[in-house]
Amino acid sequence: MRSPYTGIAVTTPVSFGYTRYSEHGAPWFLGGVLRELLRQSGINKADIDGLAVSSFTLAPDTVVALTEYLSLSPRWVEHLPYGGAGGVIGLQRAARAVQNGDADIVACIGGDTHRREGFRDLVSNFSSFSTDSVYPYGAGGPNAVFAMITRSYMERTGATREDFGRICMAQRFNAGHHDAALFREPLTLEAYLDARPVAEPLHLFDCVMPCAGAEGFLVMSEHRARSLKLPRARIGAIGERHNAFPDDDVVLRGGWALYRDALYDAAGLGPADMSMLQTYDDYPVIVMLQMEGLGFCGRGEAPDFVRRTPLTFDGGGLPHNTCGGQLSAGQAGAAGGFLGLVEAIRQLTTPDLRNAVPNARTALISGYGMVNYDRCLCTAAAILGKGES
Amino acid sequence: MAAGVDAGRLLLPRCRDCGIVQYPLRELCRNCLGDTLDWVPVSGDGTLLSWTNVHTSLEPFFADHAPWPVGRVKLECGPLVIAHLAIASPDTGMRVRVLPHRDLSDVAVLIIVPESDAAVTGPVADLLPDVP
Repeated sequence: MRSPYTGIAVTTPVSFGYTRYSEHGAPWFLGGVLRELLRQSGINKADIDGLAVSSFTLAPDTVVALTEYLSLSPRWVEHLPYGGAGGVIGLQRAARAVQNGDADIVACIGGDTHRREGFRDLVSNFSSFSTDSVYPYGAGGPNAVFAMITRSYMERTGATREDFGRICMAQRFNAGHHDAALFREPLTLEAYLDARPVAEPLHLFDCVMPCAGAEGFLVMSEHRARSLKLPRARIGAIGERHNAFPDDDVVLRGGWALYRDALYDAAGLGPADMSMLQTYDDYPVIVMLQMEGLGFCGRGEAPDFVRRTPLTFDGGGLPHNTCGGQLSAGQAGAAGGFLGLVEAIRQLTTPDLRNAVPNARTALISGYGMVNYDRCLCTAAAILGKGES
Repeated sequence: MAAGVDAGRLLLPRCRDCGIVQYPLRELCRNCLGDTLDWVPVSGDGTLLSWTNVHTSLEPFFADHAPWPVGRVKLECGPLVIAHLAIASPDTGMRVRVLPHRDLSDVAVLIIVPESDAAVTGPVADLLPDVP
């Protein structure tokens, strides 16, 4: 049994700088989040003694270089190479650091710039295996890999394009109530189905748009958050697993199934107790794998689940990706791995949101990251609850 | 280099200690971590697990030749490979063969062909020099 995350507060959700292209460097985005974290929390920069960062375009630099760039002197730093799982894993590392006294206030930040030619460089050099054994075959990037996963899922489960469209349309509705999302106009089923193919069966609205932007939050003791009068969320449980099920030839599950029961046991909650679900939505099929892996429905049952469950923030079903997810907000590199977590913190700490989930008390946040060869390797999930005020 | 080419035979590294065939390429055996790998001829026979046509490519060649067919194969000798797909009517579960070729840039690439016919046809043929 892992020790609980007692006494830890998660505060100050920040989404920053979303734009299609940018000539700024990654530190402009990461530092911009830090500036917002300080402004909104009233904390002095010198009191940030922990820094966890996830970024692709910060390379060749790491969090270490960023301490000099931003003139910070933390006693604890963490670089998070987990892609779409970086937010949840950063939260886990930061919470343990604070619990153990290694840091008092940790800023967790994920973000990237997006230059016009930058995406090709990122994709072509994403991993050794990918550069050698995926990219040369059509240079479709992750679209080709996930198109083949999507086809397999459709053939095994009977999922249709309409089923994926339900997820995309609900997220777009949610984005219409979240001003930071780059795509806020409604998406009709007709427009979804008529979109141009990207890599069949994936079409335009199944794919995230690469963009620039950043996300962040603070982790500190509940005592500190209370003295700063910061609205806060608490951590019920966190789990992670990497390279789960390596012998599955057809990729139809991720690591969540291996720690789902421990996660719910530790939190004393189940899927039915969740006020919202924030998944990593690089493609809608991956949303379905998370719904199944985290026990919202059985394996292969997600198509039926999304047919009968409203996914909008105010639909009374399962509020899902309530800020629109990456499919509507855009995929700002490593910020994509923070988006759902920051949105959950916002829902649990911020009054009067336009996209407020009614009576939000709990959130399940899921991450999925790093397609190294033919599947993503990192999975993580966290349960958050509304902090006592 | 993605794989060895030897007179049209598929060569892949095999662990001298436990016999596991490796792909993508590694310097250590994925199973027993032994570091003695031999390039040996292996069967390219396998099963087509999935496939797609890439319409939006990051490289000009493939963008100009879009839609570009790609498939994913489970080889009988063990590994999973992603490769160019030279099959007119692909179908999940069909028996296929993966063969190495040298492309226009003299780089070794893997191409999926029907089990019954090793000729490279369709758009993938544009990738190869001197296709008869």
